[in-house]
Amino acid sequence: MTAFLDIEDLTKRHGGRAALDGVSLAVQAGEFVALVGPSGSGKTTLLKSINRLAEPDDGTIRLDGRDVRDVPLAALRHGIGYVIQSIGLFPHMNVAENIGIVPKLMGQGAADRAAELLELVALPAEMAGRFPRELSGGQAQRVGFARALAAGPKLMLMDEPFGALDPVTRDALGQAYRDLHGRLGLTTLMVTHDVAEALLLADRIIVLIAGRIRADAAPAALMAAEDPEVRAMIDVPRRQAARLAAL
Amino acid sequence: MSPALAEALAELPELVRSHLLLSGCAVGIGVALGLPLAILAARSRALRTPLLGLAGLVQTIPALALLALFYPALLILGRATGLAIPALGFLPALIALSLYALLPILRNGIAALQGIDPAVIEAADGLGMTRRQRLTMVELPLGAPVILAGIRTAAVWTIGAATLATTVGQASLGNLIFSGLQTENWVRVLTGCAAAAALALAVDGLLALVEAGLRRRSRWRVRLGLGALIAALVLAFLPLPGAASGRDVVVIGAKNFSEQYILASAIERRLQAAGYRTERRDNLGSTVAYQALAAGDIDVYVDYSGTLWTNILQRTDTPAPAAMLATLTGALRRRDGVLLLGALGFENAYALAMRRARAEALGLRTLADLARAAPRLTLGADLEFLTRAEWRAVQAGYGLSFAGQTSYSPTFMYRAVADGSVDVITAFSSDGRIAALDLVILADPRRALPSYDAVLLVSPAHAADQRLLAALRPLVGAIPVERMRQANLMVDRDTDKKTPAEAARWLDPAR
Repeated sequence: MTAFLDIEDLTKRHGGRAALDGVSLAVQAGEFVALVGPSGSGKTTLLKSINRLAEPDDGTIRLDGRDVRDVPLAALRHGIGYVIQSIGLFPHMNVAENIGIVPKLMGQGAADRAAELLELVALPAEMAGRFPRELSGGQAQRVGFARALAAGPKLMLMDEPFGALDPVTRDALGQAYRDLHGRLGLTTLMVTHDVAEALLLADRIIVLIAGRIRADAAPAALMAAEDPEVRAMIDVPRRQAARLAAL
Repeated sequence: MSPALAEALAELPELVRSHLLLSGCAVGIGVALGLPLAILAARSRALRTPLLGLAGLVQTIPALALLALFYPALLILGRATGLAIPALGFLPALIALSLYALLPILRNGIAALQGIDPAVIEAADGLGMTRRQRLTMVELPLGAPVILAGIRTAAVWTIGAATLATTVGQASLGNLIFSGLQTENWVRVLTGCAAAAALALAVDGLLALVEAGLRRRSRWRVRLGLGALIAALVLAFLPLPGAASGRDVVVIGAKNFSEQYILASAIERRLQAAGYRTERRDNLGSTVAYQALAAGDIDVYVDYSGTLWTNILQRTDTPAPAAMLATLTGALRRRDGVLLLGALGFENAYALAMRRARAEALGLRTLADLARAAPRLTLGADLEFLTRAEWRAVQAGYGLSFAGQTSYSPTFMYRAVADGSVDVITAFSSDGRIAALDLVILADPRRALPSYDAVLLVSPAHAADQRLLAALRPLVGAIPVERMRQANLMVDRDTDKKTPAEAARWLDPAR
């Protein structure tokens, strides 16, 4: 059986340096995978290669059995939910129009699912008429999630989705998304530099360092990693937790 | 109401129409060209730098010069291609103004597209918008206020600069300003300026309404603003009721001074009495006027034998007036098909003039006397005299050399001699101000200055039009210099000023 998402030997060079150096990875449907690693480790490039916002130099990516390069670009992206740290809501469109943009691009009818989608991300229905500038950071990113989910994607790509939020909002929204992931049967790839967040939300954590996969394990297994660089990353939240517990 | 104001107001509707049509088309072309270029340039640095450089370069050329440059350029293009390209009037003005409108549209367009939050662009791409969808659904709506601000700047500039279209023979509100400046008819100048300013403010206000509508997502604002602008343009396209149109129109040219306006009005009266419909092209440059006649852009105008002799035939000798006229008549007909119908009866020659008191104090009567005193005196010249062959002839003939030389437009040249800013000026012998300011003309015993008989010229197309020639012939030999001076003075003096049309009625009362 082939995996839902099958990445093979992905390579991307920036100048002489390899951003991705022969990365291979298989993700099963329904998995919640966190990509962690230091800045410049290639995690965002890996994520963007899947919806082809980045073009790798080598390697193949198959989604649901099809090479992503064989799928028309617009159709590929319509079928993948995409959430970024800077959110990128369209400032000239209200919340309902932002949420409805992908169905509109796909030429789907005017069935207004804004209320339903707002409910999904735990926002009141009267938000529909507001404009992005009137929303708090957390509300805006909830709308960002609703927009990404509007066309019913099976795969979600998220690049530091909670990165710009305050810690309380961040935790609440993380948990809320984790629930949605299970409820909607999504497959999720999330880039984050926050190892604790990855450990707490994901089923599986992939550690990228200098364009190579250095660890690929469930959270519990990762806690026992032997690789010194991987250990160094995990030790930070572990020590913090210990210090917090000792208070 | 004063006759000057009444006359200016009577001309206003047609001039506003022409002005609006010209500037509207120019801004339209600026947008149609500038916006796609801005979209391309925002994406490509290789295109952006040269494009902005080029548009900036155009902007550094004075608008007046840019307009004037398209006259010879189109003339050459017309000759090279054999196509009937009109070198005068609407086309050169339109091209020059469109180029002028391009820079603000281009610059703001590029800034608008580059100023969009990269996160929004990434989201648009990530959600699967095509380039076209991203442009129409995200980039243009978000950039619209800045793009529109550029269009507003372009519109205000263009409406202002369109007043200069008068100098290439395109009717605009500049007609009032230029002719008013020449005849010191400030009512005309102010009427033209006020109308141009009002037009610019109105258009700017409507565009501001559209801009506010886009920003506030208010449909009625956008519709009202755009609707009013489009309605104004459509109205400008429709000829005014009763306005001249079609092939049967005789176009009368005039250079940029009072005598020319008066004579053009007199010609217009004669032709209208003979049943012709007429149009005017005022404020033509000296050589532009003759080229325009030869090319058929204008049909009739008055020029001066000495000007034609040196500028058109490129001659440097100064034969007797009768011989010069005979040679000119033959040469112009043979070379360009232009008919020299005859001399009007007076001369408007260059003559060096001084205030009587000053000349008597220095004991100067002739150019030979002047040559001795000149190193201590200053000369005020009109804008072209110092570059003309006559000036070289006078310098050579009398050994003239002044302590200083300044160029003025004719009106200010007379002011300068009157208030003592200069000692000697290059006056015109038919100018009413010679008597009014008590100037004396210094005699030219060595005949260094050629004669400048005013002559009626007719375009090749009408050279055999007997009805037209019969209508104009009564003017030949009918205007002695004293009468012309008096008519000029009526227009140029400060008190009890007459309009050129009124002076023309006085000069040639017969109908």
